[in-house]
Amino acid sequence: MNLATRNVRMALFGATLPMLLLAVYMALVYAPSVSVGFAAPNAQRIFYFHVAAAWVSYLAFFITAGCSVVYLKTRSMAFDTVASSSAEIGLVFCTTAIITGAIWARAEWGVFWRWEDMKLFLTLVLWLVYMSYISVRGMVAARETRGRISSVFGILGVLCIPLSFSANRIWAQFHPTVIATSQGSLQPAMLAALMVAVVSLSLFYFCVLMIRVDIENFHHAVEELKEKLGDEADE
Amino acid sequence: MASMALQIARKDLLVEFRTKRTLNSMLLFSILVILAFRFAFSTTKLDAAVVAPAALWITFILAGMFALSAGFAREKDQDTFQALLLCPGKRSSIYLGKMLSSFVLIMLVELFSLAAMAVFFEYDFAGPAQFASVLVVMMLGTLGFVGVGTLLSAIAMNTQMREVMLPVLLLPLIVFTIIMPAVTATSRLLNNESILDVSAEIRLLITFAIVYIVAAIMLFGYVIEE
Repeated sequence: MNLATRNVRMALFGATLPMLLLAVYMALVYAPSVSVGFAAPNAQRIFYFHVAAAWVSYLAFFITAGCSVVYLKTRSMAFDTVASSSAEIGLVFCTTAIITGAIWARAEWGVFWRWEDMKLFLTLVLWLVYMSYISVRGMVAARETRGRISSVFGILGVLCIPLSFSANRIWAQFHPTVIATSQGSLQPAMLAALMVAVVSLSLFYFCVLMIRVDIENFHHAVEELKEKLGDEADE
Repeated sequence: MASMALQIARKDLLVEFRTKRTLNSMLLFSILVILAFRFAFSTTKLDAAVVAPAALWITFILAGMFALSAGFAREKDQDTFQALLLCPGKRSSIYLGKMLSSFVLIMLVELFSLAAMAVFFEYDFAGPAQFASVLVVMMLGTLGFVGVGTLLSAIAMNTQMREVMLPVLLLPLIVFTIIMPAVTATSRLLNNESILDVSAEIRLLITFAIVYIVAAIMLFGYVIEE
């Protein structure tokens, strides 16, 4: 690793931690409680991290799809590594979004989950698609085939999800749409807290992605060294 | 491209109808699933219009996966896949041919399952119009299912434990895009609603059939390169 990339990394890691702390402060203390229209006014504070986690998971899956397309075109292993690392991290954020959503739903609706709500249903489908993505990668031994196969599946998954979200309007929906509704948009202080949460979790995602890609690269370096040693032992 | 796809589909169906191995197991399997549903409801009240749509589509999907995996597994096991790759023409015509032959096989099994459902669930169709509407929904749902299923079956062929990987890859992608609208539409049709009442579901099925088939034509070449 050269000095320039190291400095960029240090700056990124250095910026992420205070941002995360600020996000926690703004969500829990700075943002006002809403009493109108909600049964549990303080439970909605989970929303800042719920929305931010959902946003980061979409970002991560789109990066997976983008890198998959580039991998199929260029066959550069670096893109396959980024695609698979991003999918794994996106899955963690997607899980976070689902769990935080369920906790809020329990406080607000009295139930953890509403099967008839298509937005919840589709997020679970998204989660399942990327679980399958990870598991298909574990089932192919050859590195080149694994990249090809999982890229195709990653593209297919990302293709089907946004279409599903836009098609779901024919069925009922309970999930709140908060950015702009007929009751008006978010209060400025809440919007600020949301923005800080989104930015800080996005920065956090990029930190984790860098570390995950490093681990993957070390892993392959070790595999190659092992192969070399094995070849020499045979001679 | 179309003529080569038809040739491949014809070859697959010819091979299949000589032995009828896949078809016979699919027919037996589908009647077993329908009967299992019937037995499960033998001591409680059975409302055919409620249970039948879900039972039918679960049967279609599970039995359909036999046809999908058999299509490529046979080529791989008998070492004929290389010959298929050597065929002059576009790679995507292999996909279209396989898709077409699976579609025909699965539709045959679905018609049989529908008849079995009507017999065992004691469901009376109101008339030919209702039967035809159900058939339209079945065909559109199956088109999307084989559209994405043929591509995923080619993917699964490249993995270890390919029998397990096909459902793992296939079910998440079709649970919302195919199963949900197909079951909703079938259920409303069996409750004597007309085909015009389910036009939203039918539009969804058509959209995803087109999306999956176009995407598969573009991506299939990457899956089978050797």
